[in-house]
Amino acid sequence: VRPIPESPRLARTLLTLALPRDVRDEIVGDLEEVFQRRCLNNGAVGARIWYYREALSFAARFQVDRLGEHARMPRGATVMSISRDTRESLRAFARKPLLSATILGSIAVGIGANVALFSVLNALVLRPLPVRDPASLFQIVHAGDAGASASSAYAFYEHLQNNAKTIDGAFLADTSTTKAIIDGQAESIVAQQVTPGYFEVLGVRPHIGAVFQTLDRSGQASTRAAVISHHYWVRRFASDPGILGRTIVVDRVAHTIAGVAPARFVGLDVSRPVDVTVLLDGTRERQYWQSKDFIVRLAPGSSRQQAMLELNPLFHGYVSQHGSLSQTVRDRGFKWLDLESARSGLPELRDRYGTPLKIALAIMLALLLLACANLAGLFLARATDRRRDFAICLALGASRGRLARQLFCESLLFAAAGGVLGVLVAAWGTDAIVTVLADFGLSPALNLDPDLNVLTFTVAASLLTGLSIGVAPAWSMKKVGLNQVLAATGRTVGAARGPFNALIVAQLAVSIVLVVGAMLFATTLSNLKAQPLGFVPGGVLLMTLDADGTDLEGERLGLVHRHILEKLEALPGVVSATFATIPPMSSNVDGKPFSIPGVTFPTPDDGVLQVNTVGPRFFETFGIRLLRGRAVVASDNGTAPKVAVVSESMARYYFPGEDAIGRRVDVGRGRGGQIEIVGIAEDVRYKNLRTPAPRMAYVPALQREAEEESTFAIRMSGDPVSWAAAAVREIKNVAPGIPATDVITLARQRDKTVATERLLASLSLGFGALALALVGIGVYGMVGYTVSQRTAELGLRIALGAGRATVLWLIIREVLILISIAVAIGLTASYLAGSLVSAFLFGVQPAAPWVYAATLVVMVVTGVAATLAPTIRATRIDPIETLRAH
Amino acid sequence: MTHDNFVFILAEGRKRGLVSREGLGEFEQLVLLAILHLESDVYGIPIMEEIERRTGRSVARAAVYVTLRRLEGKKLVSSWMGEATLERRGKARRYVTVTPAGIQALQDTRQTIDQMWRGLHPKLRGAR
Repeated sequence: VRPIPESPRLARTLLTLALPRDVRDEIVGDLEEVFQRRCLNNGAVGARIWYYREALSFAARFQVDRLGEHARMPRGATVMSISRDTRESLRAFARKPLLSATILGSIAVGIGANVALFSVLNALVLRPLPVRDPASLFQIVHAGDAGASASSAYAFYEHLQNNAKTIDGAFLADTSTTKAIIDGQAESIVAQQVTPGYFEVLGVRPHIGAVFQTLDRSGQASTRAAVISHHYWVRRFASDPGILGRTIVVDRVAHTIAGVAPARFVGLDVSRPVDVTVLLDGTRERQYWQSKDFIVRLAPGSSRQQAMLELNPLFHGYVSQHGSLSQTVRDRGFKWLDLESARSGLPELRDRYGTPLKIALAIMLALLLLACANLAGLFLARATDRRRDFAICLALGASRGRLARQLFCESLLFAAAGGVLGVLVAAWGTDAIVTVLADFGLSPALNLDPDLNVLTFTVAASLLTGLSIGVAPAWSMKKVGLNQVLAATGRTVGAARGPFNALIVAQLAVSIVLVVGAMLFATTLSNLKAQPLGFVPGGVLLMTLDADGTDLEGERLGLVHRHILEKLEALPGVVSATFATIPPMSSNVDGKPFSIPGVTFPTPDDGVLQVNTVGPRFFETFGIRLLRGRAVVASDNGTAPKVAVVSESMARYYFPGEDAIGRRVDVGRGRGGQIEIVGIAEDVRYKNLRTPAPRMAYVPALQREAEEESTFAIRMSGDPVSWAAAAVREIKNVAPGIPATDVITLARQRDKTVATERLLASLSLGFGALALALVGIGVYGMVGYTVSQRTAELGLRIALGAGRATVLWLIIREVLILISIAVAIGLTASYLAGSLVSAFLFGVQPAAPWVYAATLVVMVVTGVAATLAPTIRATRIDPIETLRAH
Repeated sequence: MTHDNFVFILAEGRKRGLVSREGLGEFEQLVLLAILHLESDVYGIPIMEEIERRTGRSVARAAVYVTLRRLEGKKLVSSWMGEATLERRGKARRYVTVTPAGIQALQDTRQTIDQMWRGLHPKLRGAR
């Protein structure tokens, strides 16, 4: 008897695992039968190979068949597959183009606005600098009672660089807008003065040419090198490859262009890209404490904590050895050194842009959530209407999970399409945001190229949108039951109100936070605008002239100033013209030593007074009211007796209970009371709307040496903007070498000082109103829907004798309950968020009771108004008709 | 599920386009026809061989068994278990036969196809 050949065991195991139990034995048997036959005919090896092949083929086919099994209903019919179902629902949406466009549009705008804000936030404060290992860069700030300050002395920087072990390189950088002269042409540039190690420490290699590390480190003033930035090279020199070796005069010093920085590197302050980088003169004012950015790179392996522990003793030791320095440090109240991360640029950027942008982003996200809640309501209503379809699918063998997945699939599809459209919206939105942020000093050259952060945010926002739209309808699938549907054959199936109520509460709560925010920010702005300015901002054009770096000074510059003034006054439409060193709202300060003969001040601070050097007709041009005495006039010139006008608060402070007019004072190094006070003017806010008016003395410009930087102001009878070009042309004719660095209207200058508050107020007001509208529509739609689902019940109640008012109250009561839950949640959230925004408020507490009360009223009115219309319609139903229909 | 419920579900499902009334697929027809051609001892192996012999094309063995299982699910085929032999490692054969519903389904499908073919022959000849 011949032994029976053994079929491959592994292949049999595979078959046992892969085949359905009911057909397993017969198939294995059949295969065995053929295997034996093949062994006889083709030999054992060929038969074994054949068996393996068949086993794999069976396993694959039956697995595929099993995957499709749950989609197949008993007795042969098939339930639609996911993709077919999705296609079907897309077709359904395509049949309602207006609705679909609205859904897509609101998702696109919602996501787009968020992505736009995030891109700007990312570019300004999140994205790491394009330098080597940005995470180990820190800025040294001096902290103490008076807050932190980014400043240092050159000698101290050298001391730290030579002695600290925990740092691996350091540099100073000082950025300013200054004047450059190229080929005899003057222009305004952003220049940066740095110590020689700047590029080396950052690990930035030149695009062409060389950076400072390869240059002579002596920093000799005669042979100075400049590195220009890539964007300046492209813009100013049309990417001329032969640029190296050309001369550029920066700050009156001729520099030779040695290199061009790489394209993506714009310096440490990404909001203000540097045009030209030159070396800091390390030979002058070495011990002088100046505001400069002091950046260090931590040595590999040392932590911020370790560096702080080493640097602070070095700081205190150095300061105690150097008398003049220790005086400055004591005066400024510096107590210790702090290290702030400069990974994404200067830490200051985080304060200036980070917080307002984060608040704005929070508002936008809240709005997106609101829109999502509305859409979720819409999708939920659709899902509810399709419950019978779904119940039948369930009965035919589809799983609940699959139906939920399908609903999710629809909302995710919408979110994905909305996200793609949103990116287009964002491209436009970022431009708008950058324009708005120009008021904060943001350069339009900000690099807004999307990166991985933006991509992640966009995908996350779209996913969040899809999930928040889809979760309520998918959740409602839990409740779909066959018996419920079959029992209700031919009748309306009552919708589960739970998910709808949750959506209403969520919407109301989010919008409460927005409404509270809108009230707070709007109150802040109106409080600020109600602050007495002391001047009339409308109709005034300001032009700042900086003669620094020209050969004009002293008497000749004074002559030029007077000449310009004559020309400006001759322009049509000019009511009056003047110039001053400190125009209102300019943030300029000019403290000068001040004394009153025979008076000893109790504190040294009293010996410093803000002094504004003003031309004739200054008070008239700015609309500053003169309370007593006379103004500065044209006859107050070098030959006339020296006079001054003082501000009201100055007069009250230095001459309490006395008449300041006629008193003699000294400004500057004068002795013996050379200046007589001839007038008292109303207080003027100089810095911004939050800061009270400083004590100020106005002295005639014609009695002093001309100041290099002066601001000319003209008051026009019409729109000042339309005459700006003509005015600038006049100035150019008179003084071709002096560029007008800043041309702006006074009203705009004032608005710039409240840019943050305006941004927050307009954002929160606009979006608060939008939120209320969204909530109104949402509540209207959802209440209307649930009421329509309850017509049978309501009809029955009316038929049984319930009055219409009772039925009305029945529904409104439910909405009021929802509103109270939402108010509890929303006001708690507002209270918690209040501390975050308190720094941006003025004259109003973040938890002001009246704001909360007003919000409550607004919400109840909105909620009830949105409820009334659908409810009244419901109570008008004819009970008999309703019952018959059901 | 009661029969009434099932009928309701099927009717509702068809009305809403959720359930389709499928005709027979081509391979299903081949399998049913092969069973009818073979007179006795009809099981997987001879069915496959019969299709291959008559059509002259090679057939995936697993497809035959998947189809048989589906046809039995649709009640177009009925089956019973035969004897277990040593050369089959003790596994029994499953013998199959076509049910009256299966024959009806075959005829319906043929009729549908024929109706579509009616009158086309002269045209197609002309086209050739």
